[in-house]
Amino acid sequence: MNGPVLEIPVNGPVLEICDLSINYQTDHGALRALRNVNLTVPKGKIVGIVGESGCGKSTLISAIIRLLAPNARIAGGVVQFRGNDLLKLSPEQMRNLRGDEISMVFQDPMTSLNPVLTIGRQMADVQHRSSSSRAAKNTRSLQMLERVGIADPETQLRRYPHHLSGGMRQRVAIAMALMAEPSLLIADEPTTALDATLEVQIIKRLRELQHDFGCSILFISHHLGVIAELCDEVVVMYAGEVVESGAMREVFSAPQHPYTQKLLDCDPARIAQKTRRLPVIEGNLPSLVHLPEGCIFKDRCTLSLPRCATERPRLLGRLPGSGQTAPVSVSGTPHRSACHLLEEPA
Amino acid sequence: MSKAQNTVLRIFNALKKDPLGMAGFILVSIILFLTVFAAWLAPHDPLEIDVYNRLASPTAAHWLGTDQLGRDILSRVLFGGQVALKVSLIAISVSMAIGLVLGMLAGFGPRWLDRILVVSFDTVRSFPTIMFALAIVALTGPSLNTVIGVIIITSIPVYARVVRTQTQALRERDFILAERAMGASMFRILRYHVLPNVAAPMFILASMDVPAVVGMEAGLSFLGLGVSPPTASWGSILNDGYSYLRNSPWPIIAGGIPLIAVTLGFTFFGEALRDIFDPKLRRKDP
Repeated sequence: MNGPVLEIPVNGPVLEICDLSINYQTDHGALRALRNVNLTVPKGKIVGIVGESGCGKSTLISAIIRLLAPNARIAGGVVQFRGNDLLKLSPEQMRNLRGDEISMVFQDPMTSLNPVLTIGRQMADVQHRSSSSRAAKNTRSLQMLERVGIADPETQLRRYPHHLSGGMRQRVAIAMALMAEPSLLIADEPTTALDATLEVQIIKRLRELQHDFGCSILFISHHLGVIAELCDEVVVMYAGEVVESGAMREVFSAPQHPYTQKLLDCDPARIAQKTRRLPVIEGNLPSLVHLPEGCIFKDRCTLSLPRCATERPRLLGRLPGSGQTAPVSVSGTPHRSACHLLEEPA
Repeated sequence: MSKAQNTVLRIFNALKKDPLGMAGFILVSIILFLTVFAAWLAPHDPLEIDVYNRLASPTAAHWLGTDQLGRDILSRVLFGGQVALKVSLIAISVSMAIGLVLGMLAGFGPRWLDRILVVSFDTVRSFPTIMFALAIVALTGPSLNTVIGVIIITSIPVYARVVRTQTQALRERDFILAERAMGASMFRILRYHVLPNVAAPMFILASMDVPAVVGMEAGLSFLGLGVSPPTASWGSILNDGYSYLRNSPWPIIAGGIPLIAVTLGFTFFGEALRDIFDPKLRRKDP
């Protein structure tokens, strides 16, 4: 029953999501939370997902670890994890992958640890698949705490979560997530609940750990600075669709989609002039129950064309060098975006 | 210092600041001491009949007087306490254990299981306890085991529903989600993560449940559905005294006071425990 259940190929991307669509059944009809999402996490890379609240980031990660809400329906698509379609695995096989091959760090370290168990107890519990002795598990926990930069790990193991500060708890959570040396770590806004100095420390530590363990990280954040600091590639999501993806530097230095441009303009770090009002993107997210026709962003876009109202733009990549568009190939990480403007002559 | 010692110390420190809780604690301790050592403390054999001395008022030999057969009431009260505590100990621990398991399954398991369990809890709760007890006794005849059985069956839903609500609240918490994301099975989550979180409220509930169970045992014995005649129970002492109330008030007083003491003691103590273990107050630990 235990042990590896899957053939895991060594090469190729760790995670490949193709055309994933997820609906939530609601009283008002199907809420189309994710529509044709494509995303690739190459081996040993950190991929960031950016987008405002409600853009489907959380639904996406719940789908990857198959812990979707009971009213969620997978309307189509494939989630390839090292050559296996996660959506087709049995619950038992999926459970064996979680915490072993795929791990997760949550947003709020104040609530993601069990309040009534000591840190040591919880860290030993995470190693439930290992058959090693209690002492060996304890040693392993100490080792992991040291690696995430916790001083005096022996004492910390005996303490309860409420004795620890938020930053320490998040380090503990990261140590627990990396315990089994997973090939994919999903980090769901792991620094949002921390203050700025801690954020930098945790980000640096994650980078080091990623380098040491050689795992891939899928990093969800709405903080562009953190994404820029940490990630190799970035995926911009809006209202349940991927609107732009590519290497972090390319996307941030030459954003193609108007939404990405606006998002970057809203980053307080990028504001050059002193102003009384912070920039915002006017308008609201469209209803995901009654989807508008055409481009999902057209109502908030200042550059929209007539065809944006009727024709839904596809996620397209430009062939490097030439200005031409090419159909999306899922493998590789070309700079792609879903906008009709790309096809207009410059 | 071990965790258990730590907890005991914390309870004791908190009780020092809570006079009502301390009073409850002292009352509970006295009751437990008197009943556990009843065999040594009782001045007479509770079954010893002395017809020349029936319905006597308190004397140096019989501190609480004697009943209609001349039996020493103090001794009968002490031994009656043993019956009451035995019933509550067995009935509460069994119903708590079953209630914990069923409640966690209802709260964490699939929705259809939850529905089935909740309907069965409500069905059991909808019977009036005394009617239910009468029906069972009519089938099996009066005995202490029947009393225990009836109390267990009617108490399981009480515990199970509290555990179910607690579990439902817990299952939405991040750390349970984190456990699931780390590949823990349902059994592992329930055993290692839900159980320690619902255990404290369970013991508080159990402490507050003692008076109810003791009262139920006394009630059923009063009606003659519990212990069989020569055995002493607070309920049967009250029933005997009730018939001879015109002759002597002492059996009623002697049978009633322990019931009141148990109710007050366990309620105060339970409330003090609740204040100590309340998860909302608990967070403020240094």
